[in-house]
Amino acid sequence: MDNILELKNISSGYQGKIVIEDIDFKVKKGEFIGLIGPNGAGKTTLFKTLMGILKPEKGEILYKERDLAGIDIKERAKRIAFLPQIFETRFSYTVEEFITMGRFPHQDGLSTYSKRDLERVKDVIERFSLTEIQGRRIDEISGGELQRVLFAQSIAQDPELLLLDEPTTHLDIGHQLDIMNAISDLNREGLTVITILHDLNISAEFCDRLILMDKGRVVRDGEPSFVMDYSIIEEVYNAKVVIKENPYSGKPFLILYRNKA
Amino acid sequence: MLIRILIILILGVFLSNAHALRIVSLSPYLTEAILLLDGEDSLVGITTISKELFGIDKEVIGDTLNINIEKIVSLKPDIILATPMNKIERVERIKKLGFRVEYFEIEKSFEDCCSNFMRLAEMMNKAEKARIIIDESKNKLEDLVCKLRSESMKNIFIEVGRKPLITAGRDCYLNDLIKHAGAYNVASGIRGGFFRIAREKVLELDPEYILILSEDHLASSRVWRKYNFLTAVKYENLIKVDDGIFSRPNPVNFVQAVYLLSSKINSEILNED
Amino acid sequence: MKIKILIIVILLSIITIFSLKLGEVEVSWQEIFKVITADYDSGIESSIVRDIRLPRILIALIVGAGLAVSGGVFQSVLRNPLAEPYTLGISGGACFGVALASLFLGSKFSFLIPPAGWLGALAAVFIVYFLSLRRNFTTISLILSGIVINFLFSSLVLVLFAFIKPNRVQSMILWLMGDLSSSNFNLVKIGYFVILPAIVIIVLLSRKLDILSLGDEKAHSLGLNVKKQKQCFYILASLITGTAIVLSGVVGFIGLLIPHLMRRFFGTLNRGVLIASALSGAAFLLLADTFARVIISPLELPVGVVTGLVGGVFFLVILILGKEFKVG
Repeated sequence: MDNILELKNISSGYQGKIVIEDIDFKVKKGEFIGLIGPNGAGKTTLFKTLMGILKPEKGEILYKERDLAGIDIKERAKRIAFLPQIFETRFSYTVEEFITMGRFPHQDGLSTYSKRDLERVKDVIERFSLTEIQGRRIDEISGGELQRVLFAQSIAQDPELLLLDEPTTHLDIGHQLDIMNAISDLNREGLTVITILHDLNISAEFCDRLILMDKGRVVRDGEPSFVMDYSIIEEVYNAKVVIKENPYSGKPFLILYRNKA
Repeated sequence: MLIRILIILILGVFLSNAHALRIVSLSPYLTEAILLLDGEDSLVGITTISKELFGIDKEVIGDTLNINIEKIVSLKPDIILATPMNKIERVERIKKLGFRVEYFEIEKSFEDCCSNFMRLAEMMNKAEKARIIIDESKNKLEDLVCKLRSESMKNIFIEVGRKPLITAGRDCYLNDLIKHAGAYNVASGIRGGFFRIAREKVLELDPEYILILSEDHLASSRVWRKYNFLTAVKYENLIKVDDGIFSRPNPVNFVQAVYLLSSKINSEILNED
Repeated sequence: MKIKILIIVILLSIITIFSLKLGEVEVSWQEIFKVITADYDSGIESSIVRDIRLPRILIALIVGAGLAVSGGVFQSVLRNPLAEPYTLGISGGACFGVALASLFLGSKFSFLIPPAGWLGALAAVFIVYFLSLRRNFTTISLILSGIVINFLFSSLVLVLFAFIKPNRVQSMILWLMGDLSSSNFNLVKIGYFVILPAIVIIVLLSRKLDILSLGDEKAHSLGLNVKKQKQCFYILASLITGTAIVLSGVVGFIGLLIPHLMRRFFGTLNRGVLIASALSGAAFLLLADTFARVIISPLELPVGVVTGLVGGVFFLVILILGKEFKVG
């Protein structure tokens, strides 16, 4: 029973057009999974289906052995947090106000934020070193800080499962590693994580397990060294690469090179 | 016995004047009618235009459309005279406050003018005076109509408004006015009341005379003169009048207007007046 | 923040008292005091304050509050800083209803014209609702449907103008620019029974409005039934706007300007902004209406002209000072 998530034969898409097919895998509690694949492979579609934004045409999803479709939307939000890829800062909430909104699933009806809610928010702000900027407005902070804030909001939700859609895009290497290390820490504390990543090296380095998708299907699923096999990477991404071993961690890493004249 | 009669008479006169009538008139035409009936004393409130037109010194209660409820109410009127030209919601509001509102609809004929005039007079206890004025007007009118009997009917188009072009059809006092002047209102075959008409239609009807009642005569004439094939233009039959007597249809104005009009279109006959 | 609200409440009270005092007719402070303490007499002054000015003031307050809140809601739901209560076709529909009624009803039935306006607004709301429903109530679908409906109905109204008696057309045009002159206590009752509860409900739900502003996907992931909530807010805001139009004609700029302004002083969280907007909107419209009926007395300016001018100047100032058009 440590399967927190089970996808059975899922097919899903938009407006009747099927984008992903025959998706079938299990997620154990506490796993750190990297969902990788080329653009258009269907990764975001899969996430949207998990979130209930899209309804699967076929198959079922079980969350802790319960049919996900049958779980009330607020219940789901208490357990699964989702960080979308793009966030437009059209509103100038303060950092603190913004993170507090992450507590929304835990309130019922018209009750205001409880003491516990406010404590959690404080914890999260401290944890992600946001104390200094907590009074600033989210459209006045840097990209790196905003990413931390978005992340903090998802953690404030106290989820069991965290779905991240490309949390490291647009960030410099320093911030990228910060975020990934933070996710790692949380994962070690028991949070199950599935994250979509474009950077294969980061995925291989941090994730216990990689699921590689291409053209709407799962092509490979397993340990990084299994999935990061140069022939399959070359086939799926249509690019010539070399896979070596990272001398510090033993994980695979990808070497790329420029076309010779 | 004589003394008793005297006392009753004196009392009667006293009582009938004890409370002088207070009238607010929301339209220049009704104001003028009151003035004709020698009722200036009863008038307590008039519109801005009335003040300009008649030069009387009374409280102004707003424009014809844009009437001021507070002002009217503060004048404590016994009767408020209203027309369709006033903002009806405001008039209704005043009515709901318990004031007596008398509506005067737009007249359809000379008969209407007379009966409206009489109705107003009765409210003011001036029925006698009204009777005299009406009878005089009726006589004058009959005289004129007799003189015109042998004349051939001229075609006339009435321009009530220029932009947009508005005319008066049948069932309107202007139409009746035209008839009494011995002419034919070309718009009467189309519709009743006031309505917008396409200039093209007027070109098609090709009236012999065009009566311009709208304010900017010059502008109106300029527009009509563009169509120099029009009969009315060719023979310089664009009649411009100060629209006052044409737009305030009490019996006196009505007759005056008929005279004015017929003298313009039948210049041969009416030299005596 | 509580202090700022207090300031607005004080301003509001001052404006209200002055509105009772000012007008065509001179009214003593004693009279005002008597009316406030419900010590009525049958004098003319008392009647003017009680029967003419008081309902008008009460309606200005509730319409101003309603339009401001409605504007704030539309701006949040549509995630568009230029949205305002009439964006979604309500004013077009109301005008159409009024025009149609003006055409077919004689002066005896003129009391039916405001309800006709309400029905017109309702029709517009329904049409936009169903058009957007088919497209899942996305923001784009709401805005587009609203623009189309407004355009269609406005054009139809212009067509009807050709057939309606000229004096009625003039009357309608005055109404189109905002007119509180025919206020009476029945309208006051309608206003407070419909608009006030709607405002209260919206304020109680304001946290959901915040969540909605994060984007449909994020809001969904936080456990909000996005479609249902948008519909709910849409209906509440439309109800307020439609009723406001019936009470006062089309008064522009309040729904656009006030929420914007309030966000500068009260932050972005909707609860504070909407409460402040309701109070400021009330104060603003009352001020504008009192100005409109006093400045060229005994004539009256249409109140929409005053709000339009002030609103226009404000936006000009904002543009010149270079602040961005954010929702907040």
